Amino acid sequence: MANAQPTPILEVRDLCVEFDTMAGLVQGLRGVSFSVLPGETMALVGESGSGKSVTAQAIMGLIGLPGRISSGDILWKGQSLLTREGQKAAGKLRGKSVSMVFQDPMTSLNPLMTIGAHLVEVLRRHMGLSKDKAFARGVDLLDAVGITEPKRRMGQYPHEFSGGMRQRVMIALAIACEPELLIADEPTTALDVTIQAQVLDLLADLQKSMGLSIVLITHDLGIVAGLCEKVAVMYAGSIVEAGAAETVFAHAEHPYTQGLIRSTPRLDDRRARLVSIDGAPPSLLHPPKGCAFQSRCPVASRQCDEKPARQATPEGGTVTCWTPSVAAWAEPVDRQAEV
Amino acid sequence: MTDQSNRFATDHPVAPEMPILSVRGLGVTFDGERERPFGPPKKIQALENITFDLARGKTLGLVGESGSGKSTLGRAILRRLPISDGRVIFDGKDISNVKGEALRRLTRDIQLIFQDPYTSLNPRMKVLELIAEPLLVHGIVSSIEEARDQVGELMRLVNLPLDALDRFPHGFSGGQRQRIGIARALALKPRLIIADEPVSALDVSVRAQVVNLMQDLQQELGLTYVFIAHDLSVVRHISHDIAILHRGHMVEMADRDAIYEAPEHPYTKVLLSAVPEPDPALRRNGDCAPEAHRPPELNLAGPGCRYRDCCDKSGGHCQREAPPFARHGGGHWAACWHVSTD
Repeated sequence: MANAQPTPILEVRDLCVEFDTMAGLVQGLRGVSFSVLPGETMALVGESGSGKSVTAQAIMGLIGLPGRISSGDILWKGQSLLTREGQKAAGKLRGKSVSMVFQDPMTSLNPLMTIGAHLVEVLRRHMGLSKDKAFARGVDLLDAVGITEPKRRMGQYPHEFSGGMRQRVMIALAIACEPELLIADEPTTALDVTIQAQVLDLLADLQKSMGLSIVLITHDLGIVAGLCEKVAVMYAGSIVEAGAAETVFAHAEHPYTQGLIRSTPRLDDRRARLVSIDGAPPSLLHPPKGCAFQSRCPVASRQCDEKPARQATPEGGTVTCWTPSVAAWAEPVDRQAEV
Repeated sequence: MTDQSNRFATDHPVAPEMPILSVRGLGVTFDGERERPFGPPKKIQALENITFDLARGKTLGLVGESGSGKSTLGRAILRRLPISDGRVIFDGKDISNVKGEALRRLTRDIQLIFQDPYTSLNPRMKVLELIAEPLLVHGIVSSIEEARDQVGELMRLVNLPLDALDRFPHGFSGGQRQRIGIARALALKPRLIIADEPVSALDVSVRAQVVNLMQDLQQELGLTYVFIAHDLSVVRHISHDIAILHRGHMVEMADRDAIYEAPEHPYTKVLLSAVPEPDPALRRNGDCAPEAHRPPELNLAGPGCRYRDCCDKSGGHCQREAPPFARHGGGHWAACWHVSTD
């Protein structure tokens, strides 16, 4: 995927993460590969437990015991972050060149520190600015993320901010050191829709003005289209389909992607019934041998007992399925029409 | 009531002309901070002059942002909060002042489904105990074991496997836990269910499962729902009517297709445009973020429209006088000076 293209800023190769729990070895990630080019935005989409947050944590070096990266590689501009020298370099990268926005703005800020103190701490540590310079830069950053009266706000505590404002502060913190890659882990899940739209717009603006690469992690396909060029759909610890956002939405190949798109409610949909993907994802403690989606897949066959290989799609994406591009889901029965 | 499938159906005659729930001029006030020590607390008007009817077997979608008063309205109907003005009429009886045993009996008829299936179930209780608890509390059964059959029947209704009875909630996924919460709410054969953001904490693919289940149960048992949501994306599928709340006021109410296809209040339009469109081909171009929109602040001072400071149409009339919640043709109600009245 990466050859003949500019060096990706981030490349994840066949990454496996395991968690050694009391119940046994949980395979959190089972061979995840993707790459992000400079200035590119990519979405990692999946249900809870699909491994999307674990992927982000692995990139940020936040996998703690009992978890460990068992195989695969994470490359930053072609350099591995997992070798001994790489780990040293990674410590400097993380928080500076790669930064992260967490899901819950209510709990990710220290309630005993002012907003200003958060910003000054980051700027002094990573950028080596003096106290005064860091403060001035902090004011500019709050202004950049659309917080009014930034000077006064610097002296306030997180509880004086609303949810959307706190998420803006989190974004200001994340872009403080002018990162090249921003990982946003469900940045809008805890927010109201109107505020969500504003935060997504802010991310899109920053991406344009700073040339950021963004990895957006979400379970909601709805917010992907507005921000991201590429999409990777995760299921049970691996990527089942990846490609350009437009083509994935227009011609979803994998039955799971098709199901996800159809279960996303749409405003122009007059049907009284939503399409659902019945069942639940498999346990990663004993993942199935074959395709992980087969127990919920409407078009599963005997072939699916064996693990499907990743293959390229005509539109330039990849899909991991034995029978891609088959329309997997029947048209839902419309009760309204029946009556 | 020997018919198995109807064991939990409501056994009351259906009178389509009489709404099961009527809310008239409902107001709820909370005590805020005191301006000086021992002084009188500031009053915060959380809900003001809410009026609507809900027909039997139908669903009302209540939509609003955090702080709009949607959960407060749900709780006021359940009588979990003191009502300061107006009346709540359930099944023809004024329930705004009932107390004691009558209020206890009322909770059998009106039940609540909670938002977060991860924190609303006691982790130390087995599924059997969780679902049987309401039956025990209301003296319908005298022991948990006695309730086993009834609970099994409820499990069948919400499509949970019977072997789940003796397990603890931590072993279940979010969707399954929400089913447990629904079974618990159904145990007392309620007629009205207030679902307070029942799918907001769930994954998109699981949301559809729970919403579809709620629709099936409504058909099978003749339930009436008040379905509270913070955005307009899921409510269309389950609701018959949708009401939009803003700063404790109802700003628009209409049948579901009218809200989506002919919204009248500017706030409804903002809410609609804020729902992200998944299909890049259909995505609106750039205008999706309601730039000027600010989060609601309670106690906006002075008379006038409560939406005036967020509204780009706001004129002199909006500053001076609050628009009435008036009917604009058909069943469409809105509180705005800028829509034409019949």
